[in-house]
Parts: sequence; structure tokens; C-alpha cells
Amino acid sequence: MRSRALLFACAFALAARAQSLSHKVTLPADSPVTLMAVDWGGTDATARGGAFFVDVRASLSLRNSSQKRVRAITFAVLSQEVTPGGKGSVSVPSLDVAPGDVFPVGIDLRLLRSIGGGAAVEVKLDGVLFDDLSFFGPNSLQSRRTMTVWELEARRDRQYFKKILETAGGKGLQDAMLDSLSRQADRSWPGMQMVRGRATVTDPERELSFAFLEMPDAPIQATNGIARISGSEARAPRIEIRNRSERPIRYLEIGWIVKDQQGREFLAASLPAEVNLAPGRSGQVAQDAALRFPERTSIQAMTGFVSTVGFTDGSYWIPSRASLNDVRLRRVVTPSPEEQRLTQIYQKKGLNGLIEELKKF
Amino acid sequence: MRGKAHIPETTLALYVPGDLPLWRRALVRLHVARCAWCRQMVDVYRSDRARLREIAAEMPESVNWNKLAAEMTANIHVGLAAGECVAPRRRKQVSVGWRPAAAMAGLAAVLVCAWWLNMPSNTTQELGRAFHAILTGRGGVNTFPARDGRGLVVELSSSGIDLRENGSLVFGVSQDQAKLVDVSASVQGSASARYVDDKTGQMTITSVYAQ
Amino acid sequence: MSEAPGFTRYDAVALSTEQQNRFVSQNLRRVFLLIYRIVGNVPDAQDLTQEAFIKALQRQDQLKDLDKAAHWLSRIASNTAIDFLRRSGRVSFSDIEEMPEPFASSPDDSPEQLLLRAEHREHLESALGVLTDRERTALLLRDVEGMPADEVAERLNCSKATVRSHIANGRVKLRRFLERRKT
Repeated sequence: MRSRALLFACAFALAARAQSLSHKVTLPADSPVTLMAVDWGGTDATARGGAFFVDVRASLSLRNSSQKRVRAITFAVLSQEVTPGGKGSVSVPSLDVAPGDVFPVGIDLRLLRSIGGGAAVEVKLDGVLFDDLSFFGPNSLQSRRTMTVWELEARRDRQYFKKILETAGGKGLQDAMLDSLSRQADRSWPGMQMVRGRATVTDPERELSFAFLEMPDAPIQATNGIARISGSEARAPRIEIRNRSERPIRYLEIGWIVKDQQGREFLAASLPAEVNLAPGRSGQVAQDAALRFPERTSIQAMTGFVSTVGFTDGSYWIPSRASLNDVRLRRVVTPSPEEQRLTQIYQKKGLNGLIEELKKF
Repeated sequence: MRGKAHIPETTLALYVPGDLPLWRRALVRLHVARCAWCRQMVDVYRSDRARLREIAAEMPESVNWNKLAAEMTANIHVGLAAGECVAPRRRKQVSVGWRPAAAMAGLAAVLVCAWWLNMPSNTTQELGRAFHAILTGRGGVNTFPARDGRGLVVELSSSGIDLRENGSLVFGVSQDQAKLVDVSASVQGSASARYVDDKTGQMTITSVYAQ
Repeated sequence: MSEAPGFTRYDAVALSTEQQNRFVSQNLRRVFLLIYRIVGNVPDAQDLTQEAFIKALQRQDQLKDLDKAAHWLSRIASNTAIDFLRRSGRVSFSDIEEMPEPFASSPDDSPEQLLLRAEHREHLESALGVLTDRERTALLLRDVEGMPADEVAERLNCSKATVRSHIANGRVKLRRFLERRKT
């Protein structure tokens, strides 16, 4: 009887241990942002079946303790129990935080962990981007590149909407907002799986060529490309590219659009590549990855377009608004975070609120 | 001398800094002493090497060294400080004999059943879906072709992003308090979900990285 | 023990903050340039330089002979850069074209050599760009860092014969590029 009671108590203790959760936010001593407060309310680990959900809900209150305006920030979310893929991040783009100001960052993630593995979560600063495009942080998640591209898109889009306001007035700006909202609502997306490395293929395969959207101002020209198609899976894309600029290129991203049997097009994925491409040189980028679409999807055509180019001097090229006005890109490419933020402001505060916001930049 | 053979350039290129094996170096030295063309090529490669060393020591023009050095120094301190904060945790090894372990497993099963039976039906339905998702590795509305389930799979759907290993869910991104506006994937092994907070309008982009 | 020029004595115990700062400031430029020449771009070179110093300072206990501090740090730096090239090799990148037409310039033995230095640098950087990652890395470690060929082979995880081949091909390609520049 005593041994049974002891075992019963042990079971409770183990269950209780499985639900305990430790969490912390890590900022370096000379971080340009200071943690003023953190509220972990709502963060817990709940055992369900053979696993438990770790809901990470944190509200961080940060102060910009640098002398520059903060434009974006990224935190890595790590679990101490390392899994092959257990790394995430939370980024907040389109900020405009003046020195000394306080701003919030919300973190809302759900991790599913196996019972017995423990639950410890660390939120660690990966990078801060400033208005002069300088950067602070370990950059272990390449957040510098990502946030720099977002900031360039933000500047491009704000300029675009300001120009509309200048040339077509409030009515023109309103039409542009409604157009953007309509595109955001219309965007369809069937869901997808992505597998890295060689996937096992049992169905017959065929080669399908990429068509490429012409973007005359892009420093990279994609000239040729194929992927292997098997049922609703596309894998092993290979694309030939040429550097038609006068500067050496070290990074590029190609958007991969897929068309199904019903003629619906959607942006399936991006194909990033670190390259070393001198002016005038050509190269080939290849990826050992597979995209799987729902079983009812039959891939009929693929289109590629150059979406980002990084030069060795650290600068980037992104498509202009004129290029993005291509009929197909308008349907498939998501508006930038800044454009989405501006449409939110328009929805909440109306046209005048939007105009006031645009005047700040 | 007409038709005279020269040392191949790749060999001359290795001769200059002494990268040839001893016996080959001796043969090349003998030839170079008699051949003006090869001697000239040796001088050219020697000069190239010196120039490479000079240029390699110069800072690229595009770099503002003082600013870059300051940034790197600061980030090095960041990295060192972060390394001190995040010490690897050791999992406590709890060693239990098989009989007590089996007994505890049985007890845990009894407790779980009692807990399950006493829950409201809507909760059990939700958990049933979760169980199904865990057991089958399929959590969304879409069904995907049955394939070799090994390895890491990033799954994107209208409810968020899941990272699965060997069919089991290991990491998921979904938010209850913000609206999902976009998901995107990079074939290099990451996926991102874009959320907008309806109250504040703030946009947050949450990403998962498959390693 | 007297200090060797350019080095500070580091005991095989944790360095003070001041010693760490000095270690960084004395070696930062050299390490950055080595890594930059291997990976070919400033942003990655910056990240990898930071990574190399952090690794080095976290392994201070491995540094037993102060005279080899620079060499030891170079090893860590080159390993970091080479690992980066390997990691980013998941996306394979291959040359499919001949070398580009060279830019026109004056002969490099003219009295105006100093004025043309910037142009030479640009050409040489372009020349390094036509080499494969392994050729460029082998060449930089051998000719710029002065690393013995067998150590370069160890860094690149290949045989001495293979590394000689990389070095030879690198030097010949460089020579060809510079020759075409003159025509």
C-alpha cells in the first residue's frame, strides 16, 4: 500500500515537472534597446495526449536607448531542448521609434513538445535595424538582410503612395488603398509542404521549364530554368542567371510562381541563393528541395521573377512599383509589410489618418 | 631553339613559392636556368604573388573601416555576453528501474483516462483533433500526397506554420490574438507567417527555421 | 617573459576585458581582410569575423603559446570562413561562362602606379572573383597568409596533391585574367 502511494505521488510529480516552464528574455549589456518590462501572462505549458503545448505569450516593453530611430527588430525564440528544427523568430518591421521612446513587441507562438523533454524558452535579440540602415546584433538568423529589404520596400511604398497623393489627391490615394485591400483579400493560397534534401519520389517525373517575367531594371536576368514535377510535387529547381549589372552580386532571391490545372496562380516559395557573381558572369543556382501541394493540385506551369538582389557592398535591389504592377505579380505577390500597415491605418483611421502618417516620413 | 619544350605553366606557378616536391623543383630549376621564357614566367608569377599580398592587405574602398570596426567590436561583446547568459543545460538523468517505470506508466494512463472522461465534450473534440494530428502528422484541412515521411517537413496552411519531423509535429506557429495575413516559404528551409494585431495595427512576422 | 612586438602576453586563463579589447583591436583588421577575401563580400565577412573572434575568446584556454596567437586566430578565422562556404554550398553555384572581358588600363609598371592602385585593386578583386571558392581560399591561405601547403590541405579537408592543384589553377587563372587586361 505504501509503495503504491509512493508510485502515485511519483506520477504526479513527473506530470507536474513536465508542465513546468522556464522562460527568459536575453539582451546584451550594450544593447541599443532596453527591456523595460515583460509580461509572460498567458505563457504556459499544457499537457495534452502524448505531448504538451507550450504557449509562449510575451508582451515586451522596450525602450530605444540609442541615438537613432529604430526601424525593425528581430528576436530569436529558442528552446533549450534542441530539436533539429526548433528555432523560430519574431520580427517587427515598419517601426519608427525615436530615441528614448518606448515600444511594444508581442510574441505569440505555440511550440509542441514531447512530454519528458522539459520546457525552457529563451527570447534572444537577433538584430535591430536603424533608419540609416546600420545594424546591431549577432545576426544569427540573417535578420539584417531581411529587415534591410523590408525597410527598402517600406521607403519605396511610402514614396509611391505619397506620389499618388501629390498627383491624384485624396481620391487617388483612397483608390490605391482600396485596390491594395482588394488584392490582399483576393489572394488565394492552397497550402503547401516543403521538404529539404532529396525526397522519395515514386510517381513518374517530368521536367517543366520556368517562364520568367521580364524585369528590365533587375540586375539579374534569369535565362533558363527547370524543375522536376511528379504529381503535385515540384522539386530540385535549377535556374540559370546572369549578372547584367556593373557590380558584383552576392545574394539573390527568385520568386517561384506555380499555376494549377484551374489556371490559378500563387506564389509558392522563394528561391534564395548566396552567390559570387561578377559583372557579366552567368551562373546556375540549384536547390535540393521539394514543394508538395494538396493532392488535388496538378502543376501546369511555373514562372520565376527576380525579387531581391544583394550586392557585395551591402546594398540591395528590390523591384520597383512599376515592375510590381505587372498583372501577374499584382495577383500573387503579397504587399510589403509597410503597405499592409498603411492599409490598416486607412481602415482604422480613415484617409486623413493615412495622410497624417505619410507626412511623418 | 625551335620547338623547345617549356615547363607547363601550372608547374611554374607552383615552383615560385616552393610548392613543388623536392625532386621536381630541382628539375625545374635546371630548366629555368637555361630557358629565358620560363625564367620570365617565373618572374611574372613571383610578381603576381607579391601584388596579391599587397592588394589583399588593403581595405576595400566601399568600407568605412572605423565605423565597421566599431560595429564589429560591439557585436563581438554582444556575442560574448550572450554566450555567458546561455549556458548549455544538462538534462538531469533520472534513472528508474523498469518495474517502477512500468507501474508509473500504468498509473499515468489511468490518470489521463480519468482526466479525459471528466472533461467537457468540446474540449475532448479539440483534443481528439490534436491527437489525430499528432498521430497522423496531418493537422490541416488539406491532405498531401502520402510520401516517405522521413526528415523535416515545413507545412504552411491558412492557420499557420508547422514543422514536422518524421511526421510528428515539433514546432508550430499559430496565434490566437492576431490576424494571419500571409504565409510564405523559402526553399532554403524557413517559413514565415505575417500577423497583424487588429487593435494596434502592428505587424509581426513569425518565422520557423528547419535545420 | 618579454613581449613579442605586436603581441601581448596572454596567460592561459580567462582574459580581462581590457586584454580582450586589445586582442580584438590588434587583430580585427587582419582577420576581417582574410575572411573578406575568402567569402567575397562585406556583410558576410563582418558576421564571420565577429563569429571568429567570439569563438577564439571563448576558447582562450586553448591558447598556450603566445607567439602563435596570430596564427591560432587565423586558423579559427579561415575555418569559420571555409565552414560558411560549405554551409552555403547547399545551393550549388557553378560557373558556366568564360572569364569576362577585362577592363582597359595602363601597364602596371608605369611611373603612375600609385595613381592606378585603385584600378589594380578592382581588377584583382575581379580576378579573385573568377576563381572557384576552393581555388580562391587555397590561394589566399597560401600566398597571403603564408600557410604551408599541407596545412592548407588540412583546412580544406583535401589531399596535398589536390590543394596544389587548386593553388596552381588559381595562380594561372589570375595570370590569364591579368594578361587579358593588358591586351
